[in-house]
Amino acid sequence: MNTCSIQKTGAGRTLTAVIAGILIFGFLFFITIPLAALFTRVTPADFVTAIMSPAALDALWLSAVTASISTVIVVILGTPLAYVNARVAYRGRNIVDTLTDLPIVLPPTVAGLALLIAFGRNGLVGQSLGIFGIYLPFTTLAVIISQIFVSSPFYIRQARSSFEAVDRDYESASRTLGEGPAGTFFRITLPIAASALLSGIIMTFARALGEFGATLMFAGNFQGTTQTMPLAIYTTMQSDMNVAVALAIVLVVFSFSVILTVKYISGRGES
Amino acid sequence: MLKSSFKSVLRDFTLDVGELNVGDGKTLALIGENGAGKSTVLKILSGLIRPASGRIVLNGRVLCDIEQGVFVAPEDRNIGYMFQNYALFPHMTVAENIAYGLKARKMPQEEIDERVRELCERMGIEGIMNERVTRLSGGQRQRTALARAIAPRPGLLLLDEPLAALDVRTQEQMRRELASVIRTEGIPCIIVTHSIVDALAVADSMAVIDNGKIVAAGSPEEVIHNPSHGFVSSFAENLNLFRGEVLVENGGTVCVDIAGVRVRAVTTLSGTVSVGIRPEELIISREKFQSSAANAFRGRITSIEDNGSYAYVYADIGITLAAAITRQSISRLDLKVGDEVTITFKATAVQVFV
Amino acid sequence: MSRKNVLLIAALVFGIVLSAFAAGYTATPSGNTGTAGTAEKTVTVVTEEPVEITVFAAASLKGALTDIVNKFMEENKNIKVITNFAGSQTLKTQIQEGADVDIFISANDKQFDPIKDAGLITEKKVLLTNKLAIAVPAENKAGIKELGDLSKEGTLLVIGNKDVPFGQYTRDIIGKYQDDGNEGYVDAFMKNVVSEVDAVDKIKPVLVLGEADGSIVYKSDISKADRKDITLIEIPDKYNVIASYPYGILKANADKDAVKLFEAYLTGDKGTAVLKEYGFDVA
Repeated sequence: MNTCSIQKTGAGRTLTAVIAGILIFGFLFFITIPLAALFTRVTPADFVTAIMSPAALDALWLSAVTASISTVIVVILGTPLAYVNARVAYRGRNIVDTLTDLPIVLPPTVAGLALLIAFGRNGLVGQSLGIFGIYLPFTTLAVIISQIFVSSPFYIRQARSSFEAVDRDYESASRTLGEGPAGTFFRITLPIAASALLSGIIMTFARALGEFGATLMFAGNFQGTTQTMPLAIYTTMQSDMNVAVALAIVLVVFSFSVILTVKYISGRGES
Repeated sequence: MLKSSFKSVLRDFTLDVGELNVGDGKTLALIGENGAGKSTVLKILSGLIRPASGRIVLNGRVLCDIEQGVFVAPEDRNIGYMFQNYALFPHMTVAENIAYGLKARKMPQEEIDERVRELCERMGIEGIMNERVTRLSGGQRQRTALARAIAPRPGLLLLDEPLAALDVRTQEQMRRELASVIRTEGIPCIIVTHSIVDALAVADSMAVIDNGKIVAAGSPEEVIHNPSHGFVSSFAENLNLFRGEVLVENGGTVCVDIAGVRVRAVTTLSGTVSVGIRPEELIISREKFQSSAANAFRGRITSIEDNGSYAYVYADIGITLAAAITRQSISRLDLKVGDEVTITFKATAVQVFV
Repeated sequence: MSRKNVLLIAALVFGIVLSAFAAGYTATPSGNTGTAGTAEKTVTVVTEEPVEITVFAAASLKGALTDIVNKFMEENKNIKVITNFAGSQTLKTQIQEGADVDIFISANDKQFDPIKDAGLITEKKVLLTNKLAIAVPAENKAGIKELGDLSKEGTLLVIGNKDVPFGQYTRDIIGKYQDDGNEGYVDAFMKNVVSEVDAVDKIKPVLVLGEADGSIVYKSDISKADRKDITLIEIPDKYNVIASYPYGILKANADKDAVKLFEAYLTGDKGTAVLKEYGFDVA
């Protein structure tokens, strides 16, 4: 009786391990295969030719520049809001929170349409901007605005919880030691929250890099000005599959190495 | 010299500190139970919380006068604050933590280095100056936090439960060190604690706070031995506080005669003294306990008071002593009122003060 | 506990009864047809059973052809027309891969001819022609009246990219216009282009919102509903690219009566009227 039940649990444990193993490897396989498939589609020589094509080079450069600028702006604009929402309980905080989260669930085309209606030359804000000769749609600036709009929640959400995780006593201690609110934020809160913030920044950058729908709608698709990597992949898919695949590979490899690097850096910082 | 009086509305009650003053170089112990409003008092004094009304003056400088619209920010008050959990900055080393307040004051780097070194040497932490604070032991953290708080030579030092985070053995040592540092620095100091023994070890005066109000204040003797308030007397009772006469026996050991009961202690004081024995230090056993402890008495249990996971067992050995033991121990020893037991404690567990 | 059991049993019984009925229902007719089919091999069976025909048509025909099919089925209750709308290239590939199709309508010769050359089609005929036109917002703030206006500085154009037919045709048109004595037109036109897209549905919103001043699109792409927001300006035939939509009946099903019936309807008065309504020109 006793041995029997022991054997049962032993077998049960093995079964659980086998099932878990199948699920884990199944999932990894599922994620890896499509990515790996990209690499089988082009020969190294074709890849080099494709990636050196003007369309590809323009897209790479434009994506790198716009996604970086977007991320910097999101961090600058989003940090104060995230901090206030983490630290100050005010009326309507939940509404503000929901509002900043909204772009995550909004279909990108809706975001693009909304941006167009707001910042287009006939738009709510765009009309006033037009008076000063500022014209946003179909410009590189529109690419950046689209990226900021869709990627900001990734940073703000993460930043808020990073700040919440910083014990208030650290800030209080800093204040009593003679450091003002701003100094306390930069010398205490920010460094303590840094590694958590960094992962938010990475997610934001990755999202900005992959932004497609809102950009297409609001910024259009024009090589050199608004055709970022995702748009270039989408466009060249119809003419030159090699370029599309080559760009896709670059996107995958780039994203993978950026995330890995950051994990390595932040992991080392923590220990 | 600190002079203050303020009110603040808290969640459960209104904190109303009619008058809270600390003289130059003096130490005030603010005692009370958890949630009595002790920490809030410190936060208001340091400027972390704005009181509803009142006035705080430190060394002639008005830090807060709500009626006059004066409120000096915490960073401009020059008040040292040691937090209960120490709040050492986790991304900095010991030295960086101690230097923090000096840097904020834009002190030249050379002077900072010198001051940090001096403090570390005094605290006996010069060997760990470049360690990350996350790697320190409890006692090292406490020393670092204290060094950080006093480094900028504050006009007032606030200590929130400075010993609570330490284990009992370290507490004993740190209590002595704390008292010595406070005395040598000569900074007016408020120490918040729920332990009368801690308070007695360092304080010149004492204030008891209960439900947001100061219910007793004065010298430690006045507060403890003229319990005008029920809370104070119950507080004192649980903590085994007595008055007694110091007697020197042959061989140098010291005895304190408390109503005829002779308790061995370690002290340099003489004459009439106060004695405190922490209830946690008492060991109860059915038979005589074989140990090196200098004090062992037989007595009867007069009452058992359940306090959650702990219980106070009161035994009459000529004087009534309260021992804090776990409920498990009570049931294991099968203790009942009227049982005869042995109470044992070390001489070093007996706090002797004026 | 017992209440739960009762419910469970009730549900089970109900399920069994239901599935028994369902099984009986499906089994009976199929059994009947089986016997009928083998016993008397007559034409009546064919006409009584609804006949299915399958039409593969270029995506641009979706609106018009759906209307025509619905009207046709209204008149011919025994015929069921199944439609599949997609890009002509996709349809071509599907047919090459062996899709069972009766009629194939392509948006261009390029995707049609390989099917014809493979000998799958009986005869190549032209169903309709489609022209391009200038599309401008209803307000037309830029004051565009003809092709020449599209090169005016500061005019914002969103056009099809060179990889999609209407984008290629746009380039053909402006090329022809330049060759007609309008020096530098193509460069000036292309300088005004702010976005190149792959489908007309990415052009419409920016025109409707007035964020772009103009585009060149298929007339048929601007539906009746669109016309209150978007105005079409004709492009003279000498510059225009006239796309013809070839169609053909697949050989495998050439002798199906229903297919012939549908072809007649499609190219007859009723079909033609619908196609014209959708902006197509019928040859």
